[in-house]
Amino acid sequence: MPTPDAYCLARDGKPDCVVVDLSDDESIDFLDEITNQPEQPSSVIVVADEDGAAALAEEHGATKSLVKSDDVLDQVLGCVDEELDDSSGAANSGDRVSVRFRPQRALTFDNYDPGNFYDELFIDQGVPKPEARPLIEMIESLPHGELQQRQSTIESMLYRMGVTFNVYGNDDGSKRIWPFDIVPRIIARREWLRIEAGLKQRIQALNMFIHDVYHEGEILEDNVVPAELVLQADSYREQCCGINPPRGLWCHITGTDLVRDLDGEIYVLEDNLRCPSGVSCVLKNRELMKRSFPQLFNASQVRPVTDYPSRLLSTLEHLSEHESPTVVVLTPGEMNSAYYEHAFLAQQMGVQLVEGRDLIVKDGFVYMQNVAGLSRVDVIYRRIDDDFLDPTAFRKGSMLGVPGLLNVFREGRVALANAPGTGIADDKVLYAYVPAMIQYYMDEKPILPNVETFVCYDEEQRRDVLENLDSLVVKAANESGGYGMLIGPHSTRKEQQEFAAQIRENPRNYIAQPTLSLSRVPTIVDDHFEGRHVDLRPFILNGEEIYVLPGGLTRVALKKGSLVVNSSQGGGSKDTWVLNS
Amino acid sequence: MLCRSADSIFWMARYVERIENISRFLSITLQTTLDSESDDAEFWQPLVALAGDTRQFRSRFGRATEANVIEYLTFDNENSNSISELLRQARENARSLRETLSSEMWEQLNVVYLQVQETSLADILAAPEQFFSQLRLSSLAFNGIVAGTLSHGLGYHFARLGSMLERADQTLRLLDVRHRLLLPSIKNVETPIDDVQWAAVLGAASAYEMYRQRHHQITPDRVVDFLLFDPEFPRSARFCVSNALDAVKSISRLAKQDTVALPAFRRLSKAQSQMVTDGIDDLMLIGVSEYISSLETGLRSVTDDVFSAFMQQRAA
Repeated sequence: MPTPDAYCLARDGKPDCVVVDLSDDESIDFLDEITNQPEQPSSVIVVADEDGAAALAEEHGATKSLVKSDDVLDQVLGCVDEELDDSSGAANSGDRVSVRFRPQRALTFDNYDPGNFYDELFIDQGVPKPEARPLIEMIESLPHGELQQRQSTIESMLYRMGVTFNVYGNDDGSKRIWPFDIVPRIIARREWLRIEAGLKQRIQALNMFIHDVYHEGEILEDNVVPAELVLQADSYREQCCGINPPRGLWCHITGTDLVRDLDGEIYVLEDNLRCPSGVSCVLKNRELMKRSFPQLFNASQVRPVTDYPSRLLSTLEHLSEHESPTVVVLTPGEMNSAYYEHAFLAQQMGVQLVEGRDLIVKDGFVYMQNVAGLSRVDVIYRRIDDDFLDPTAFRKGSMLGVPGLLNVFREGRVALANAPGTGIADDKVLYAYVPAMIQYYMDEKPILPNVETFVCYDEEQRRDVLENLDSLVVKAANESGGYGMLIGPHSTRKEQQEFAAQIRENPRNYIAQPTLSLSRVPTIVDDHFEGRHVDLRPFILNGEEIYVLPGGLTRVALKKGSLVVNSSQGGGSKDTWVLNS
Repeated sequence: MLCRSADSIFWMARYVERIENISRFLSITLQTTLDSESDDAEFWQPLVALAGDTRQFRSRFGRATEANVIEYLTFDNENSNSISELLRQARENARSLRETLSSEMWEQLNVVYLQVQETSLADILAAPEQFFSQLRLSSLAFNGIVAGTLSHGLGYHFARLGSMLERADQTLRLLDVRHRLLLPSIKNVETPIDDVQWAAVLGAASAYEMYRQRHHQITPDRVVDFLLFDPEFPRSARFCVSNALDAVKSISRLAKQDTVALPAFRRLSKAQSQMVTDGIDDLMLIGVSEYISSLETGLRSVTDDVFSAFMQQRAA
């Protein structure tokens, strides 16, 4: 609804009929100012919510009130016409009368308060970081309403294009767009180089760990990681023991979650080595941001992300011996929450998107069932969890997978990305040992630190956790998407007791971390900016070389004060800019 | 192309074609009722027979009126051929082959779907003609988008085959239902007594203008002849059959199959050559209804033939 916050000028240039939208205090001050002037306009119309319009009009000396509704602007214009006809001589019929919206200032950061948090764009109130200055200046130079307008244009484009995710547990199968905030997060070049180096180091160590675990198990022998923790993990797949995946690579596509705490340090929060999603969101957000702010992309030299699909395809093709191998994306189907991404990546790479039922194992190879008959598949980018991949090897009775697939993989006749079994490295308990793995395999100090983590499997640490449930974040080892989590400071006594019982019952399944004070980024809230907490998920491709997509997915907790950024729990996303200089 | 994708794109195209037809039938009926003073049901009941299931309709709504027929054919989710159900299925099919389609195709379907979702029965009844014309144009635009953005490979030909089989079926159904109602006049050839009614039949097949260009005066036998046998009009049964045949030939060539051995090819060839030689006199001899229903049965078998030749997956 357009704001009818306008005044109408008669021919001599003096306000004759004033219209005020009383939705905020500022407008009331404005109204008082007008009605207390010595030379009052002949009529003052106020627009307000239903339950106050008439009373407010009287109280502030207005002559007429209108209730806010969809056609209020038409009504206002009608009243203005009427008033002008009545007011003798102020405007003769046929005179042009201009209706002007009351000038409003653009959105500014004048009142934006970073508060007691690390802010990704501001050093202090009114002091943007140097790398954010061009952005802040551009936003402040936009005419009133323009930024919100561009944001809603982007949202409606996402809707039209059907960039949606499915919400589980909603009976109507409703699909929502992922809420998007137009103010990007900015990462300076120097900082990014360190993050990139840290992620590369980490993925190498994790890959060595997975290989070790499914072969000699030296790290377990040497007791750097307790063998019991590995062998009892839900994501450990004994079916994978002894397998030698192509090029010795287990994990090809990773999305690692990073957070920044109050101290300004970037920590690794978790490694996602199974089927991390969100990269399509990064690419779409960027495409739409470029359409909205073309000038800015020229000026600030944001590192591009558009080549991700080509790089992903190269990573996948690298896994086959063939010159031009047949690559497919395997999806659980359109009911899956990330289906959009599966289809998008297949389309961008120009490869076939398949479901389990489209594939068949025959004579030791995997084939697609085509109109023209069977055709061989060399590399499968699978977006199905291990459990459902092959009913003859993993969970029986699963209809999503391909019977016999694991055997073909084991014999080296098809490549799977990521390889089955990689999930062992993103177990939330084993996470605590990743710095030790880096030290063990690479003899290096970790570049990116872990968040301090208490492993409930350890008796002493468990005692500490149980005593401090009100200040810690507790996570179940095998849950994701923000489920199975206790955020101590935001939890009730009862929730804490429930978690305590679960921890005692199954200590191996829990870890705890101090509650971090996640950094914030200014985010549009109605007509101003407020800080909202963010995390960051960069995507890493591990092929012939290791490639880190500059930036990644910035997820933002849109609820005030919330620390949960997951899409299924009220999170949204922002574009992430890694600067070139 | 995957067997499953071929199936999805074939049906996606059929559903869109069906939506176009139902919208057009509704549009034309709305226009016709404006020219007439007789009872509502007289116009709306046949529409149910044409585009839905009469028994299902009766048990749910009783006597046909403008409002309840529009509701039944547009929004009723128990009617698998209501516009909103067809759109949902078409969009689901499109979604399942999204990486195969052009993004313009997907966007067009998605936008139309969202528009219909956001429209209420009251909105439509306020300006029904506008709504259905818009929907018709959107469906036609979709065909244009397919032809102009999708590579003319297997997917395109499966879509074309689907559209053509559906369109032939719709024209045949229209003729069948209408001709039974207007039967008496067909024998009084060359008398333009039922001009309005026969003009409505032409309108329902988007054929009014093209017919006029060719035959000028409206006479029942020429209308039937035009809708069945005209070689150039894109909704005549003959045109659809010969285009479907073309599509099958292209599919067979691209899938490296022995064309002559394909049942779908043989059936369509036979129908086509028959329609080239047949004229209105043969029709009178056999009986319009009989002629039409044997064609309809033949085309339905083509759908089955195509499924077993190209779309059926083996059990894993």
